[in-house]
Amino acid sequence: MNKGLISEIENLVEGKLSAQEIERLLRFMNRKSLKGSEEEREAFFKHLAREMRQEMKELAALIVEFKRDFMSKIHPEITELRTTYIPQAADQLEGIIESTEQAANQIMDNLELMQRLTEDAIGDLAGLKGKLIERSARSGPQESGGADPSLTARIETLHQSLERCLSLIADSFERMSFQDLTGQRIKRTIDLVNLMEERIKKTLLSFGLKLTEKTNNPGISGDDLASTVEKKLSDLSGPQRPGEGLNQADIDKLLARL
Amino acid sequence: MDTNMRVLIVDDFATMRRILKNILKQIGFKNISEADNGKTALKELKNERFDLVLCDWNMPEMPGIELLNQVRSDEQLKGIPFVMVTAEAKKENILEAVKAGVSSYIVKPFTAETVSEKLKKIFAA
Repeated sequence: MNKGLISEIENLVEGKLSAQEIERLLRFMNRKSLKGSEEEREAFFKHLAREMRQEMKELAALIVEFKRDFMSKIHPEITELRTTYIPQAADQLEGIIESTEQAANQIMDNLELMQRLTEDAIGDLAGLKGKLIERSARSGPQESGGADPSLTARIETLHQSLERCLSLIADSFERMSFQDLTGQRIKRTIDLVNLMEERIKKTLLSFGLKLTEKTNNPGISGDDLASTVEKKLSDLSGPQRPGEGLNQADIDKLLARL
Repeated sequence: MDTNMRVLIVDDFATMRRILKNILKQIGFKNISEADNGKTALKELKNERFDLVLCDWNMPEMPGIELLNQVRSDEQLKGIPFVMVTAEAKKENILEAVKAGVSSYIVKPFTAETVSEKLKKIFAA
């Protein structure tokens, strides 16, 4: 022990502490100030290392837990979203376009037939009216066998009705443009869905490549990992000659491994 | 308006081509051809003589505005009346088409009267 320090303390406490108590006080101060013996310092650092190891263990456990959680819960859902739900959504939307187009074509077939039949009927009616007028002109007044005015009036009314039908058919034809307009909007939605699918695929691939790369090369730095994965992603998305790069099956396999 | 003139309808939607064709027939046109995108239309225009083009804006392969630009920059084709028939009703679209040399602009959905009026105006000029 430092004799000079002991004598200083004795003077300070003016006999209120025994020599033993002063010694204990000094040991305590040494421990606290890390200026104690070599053994004490070693014990302190050992304790510190133990604490740090424990912290690191807990941190590693947390990371493992997070990874397990992601793989078992979140990831399968995202993969399924990419491989099943989004393609299905795009297919469904394309199906809507196809079925409305088929229905629109069938309706337009019917409208065209109605248009033709109505035009024929108008033509026939005009011929009939002409013949009646001609007969009336040849035979003189109605009493001597001429055209019945009420009959020509009825023919005129019928003609007007058929003209009205034609106009309604033309109007219905024009309104079929709804199929084109809704189709265009659905096509834009399909584009958006496909874009989402592409982005999710890229995210999953990036995640999968990072995991694989880190497993194969545990010592790789964060920057190297990012640039390696970026290059692989670029290779995957770039143009490939037959036999080069990954095909769809390889990509699906990689996604399934995640 | 000479209804014997040859008309080319360009639209990727078969329904819309059929509607336009029906309307043109009602007006009296007899010689009507169809193309489902700008690229095919350009080939048709270079192979055959047409007197009028009715064209959609949004199409795969080549959109209507690009077809218009190509037509207007071609010595043989640049005089053909070109009508844009589209759902794109934004001011910038219309300005772009006018700048490219469109003869008229019909917004979907349209009526037979609108088509007839626009065509009469083009051919009266």
